[in-house]
Amino acid sequence: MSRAVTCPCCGGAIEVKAAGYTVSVACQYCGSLLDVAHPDVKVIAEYHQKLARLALPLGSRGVLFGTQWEVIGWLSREAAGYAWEEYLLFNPYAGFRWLVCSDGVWQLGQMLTAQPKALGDGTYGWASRRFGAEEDGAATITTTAVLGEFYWRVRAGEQVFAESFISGDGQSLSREANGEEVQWTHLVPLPASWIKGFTPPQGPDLARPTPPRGGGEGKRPSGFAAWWAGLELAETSLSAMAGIALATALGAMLILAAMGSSSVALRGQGQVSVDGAAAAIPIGAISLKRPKQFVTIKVESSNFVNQWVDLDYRLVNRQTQAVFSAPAALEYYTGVDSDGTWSEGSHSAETLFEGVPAGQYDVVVEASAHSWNDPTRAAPSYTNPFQTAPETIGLAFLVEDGGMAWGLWWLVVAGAGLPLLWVAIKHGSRTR
Amino acid sequence: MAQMNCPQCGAPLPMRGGGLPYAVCAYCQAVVMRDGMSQVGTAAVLPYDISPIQLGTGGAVDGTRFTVVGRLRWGWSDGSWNEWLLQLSDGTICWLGEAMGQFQVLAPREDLVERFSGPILLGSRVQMDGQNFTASDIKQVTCLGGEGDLPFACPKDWALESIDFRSDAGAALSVQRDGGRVDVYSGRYVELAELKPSRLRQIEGWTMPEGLA
Repeated sequence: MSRAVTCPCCGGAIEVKAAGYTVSVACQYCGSLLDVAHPDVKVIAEYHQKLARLALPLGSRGVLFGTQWEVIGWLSREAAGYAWEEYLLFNPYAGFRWLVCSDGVWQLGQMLTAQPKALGDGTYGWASRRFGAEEDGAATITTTAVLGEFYWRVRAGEQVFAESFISGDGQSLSREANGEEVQWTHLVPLPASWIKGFTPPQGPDLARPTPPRGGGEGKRPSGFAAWWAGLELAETSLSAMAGIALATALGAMLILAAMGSSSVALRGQGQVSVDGAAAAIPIGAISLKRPKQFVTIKVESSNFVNQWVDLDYRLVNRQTQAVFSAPAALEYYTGVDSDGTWSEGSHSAETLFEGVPAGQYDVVVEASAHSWNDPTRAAPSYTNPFQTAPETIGLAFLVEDGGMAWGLWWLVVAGAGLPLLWVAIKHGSRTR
Repeated sequence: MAQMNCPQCGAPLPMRGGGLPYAVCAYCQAVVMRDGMSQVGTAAVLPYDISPIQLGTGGAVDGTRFTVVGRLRWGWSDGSWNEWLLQLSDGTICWLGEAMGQFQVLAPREDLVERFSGPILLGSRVQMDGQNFTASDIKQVTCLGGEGDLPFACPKDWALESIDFRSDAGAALSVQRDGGRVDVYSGRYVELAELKPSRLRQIEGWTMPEGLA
């Protein structure tokens, strides 16, 4: 739920995501700056501009260090002729963070509630690190463009005096002063691949990864029905029996595919550290409309070798608290033996839930990753700066209602094929 | 939970905290004095917000259990924030301030009232509990509404002066002055998780992080 506001300048429908916190909104359709601090929306500055295309569109969601974040605001800033972008992230249970992107390098920033300790020689202490002043790190920053919502009275052209301090391992502290207040921010580097895991908001223009199953086959049943009507049942020859069995199998496939055609999709990402603690990854909420349906969860992981990931999926009904759970595993091994190099396993998996009743479900994944002890193990990937996890595996999930119940279909095929088999045996025995 | 009814509309007015003199009716916003169950005013209707806290949320501050029994919402020209009333298991109360996604636990300090009765200017420095505080924000605030049980009445258009002090170490000091009445609160910033909260509000479209539910 969110607060809905209509832009007085362009009539665009704006959803205020951080209702109660948000003070300013720069309309995502026309750029006009609005004051939403009070029930009546006031226009601060009216624009009808062509808006920047953002690398992370407003409303995108992604998981960083186990917390899901939504992009709600965007600032373009510059200092001394150099420009960069800052995205405001929000989670109602975790507050706000900043995602800073300059020259394709990403950092996650958290506002500090205490001042870093001044260590005397111009350096500062924070998070058991020493931060030294960055060369040319002091500058006046000008905000040149804004979009989305903010918890303060934001405006293009506002200036702050900033100083930057860096630690040996790539983290930094930023101190911004606007004459009234001083705000410190702690920034840690992020691999660009984590940002790629952000998914844009669901909307009519959202390109689905796969077309819904059963789609495009809508015309076939009529042809099938015509064929069925034209079939002379008296002619119980082996070929007709085979035709009926084939038709039954095809019909069952179409019915199952139609039953399983997807209408909603939910995406999420997370990370799990290898040989570390199990990670609980909230994927989000999915609304199931049909009385009973299949739910498919697909997972794809970042590349790993000689490790495996155990996954525990849970669909929790908000109203009844009923839980549907299913396990999945990803494993991939390679090695060298007398026949040369070998590999087995996969970096993706698909899990099907059957007969899930209608309702609002929270989808939660518990993941744990383990390494297979092999001396020829791949070089470790990115290390989490907030903890000392040695290696992490990134996971991307796609939850869809629907899914093809292949097991059930094979049962139908077997059922349709049985009389055929019987006739075939009879036929065979007669000709002998 | 003792059950009483609102003298204005007859709706139930559950007693969430013990010994708090006022309550706001959830249906008609009547501000009711428990002693005699009489209406003393009307509170503003709370505007919609997306706070993770709600009446009934539980948790612990420094090992003492608490329950959220009331809330006041304050606004000024550039924004608004929540003050959640915590009733602690030792019988005392304190406030959980919630602004800009950050939380402060603040306890009333009657011993400091006299020190903050005189004029205070932006940038004024005070020493308290061995820490240096600077007056960083002075503003006129208006009560935007209230709910639950409260230590004082919260009529519509209730306006007062609010002064925030900052310290280098993350300690917090807040002074509220309403004509002759002075209230002083001191405390610190806290992370929501460190309060080990239970019964947080379920917000649609978001999954409650593990460890907070």
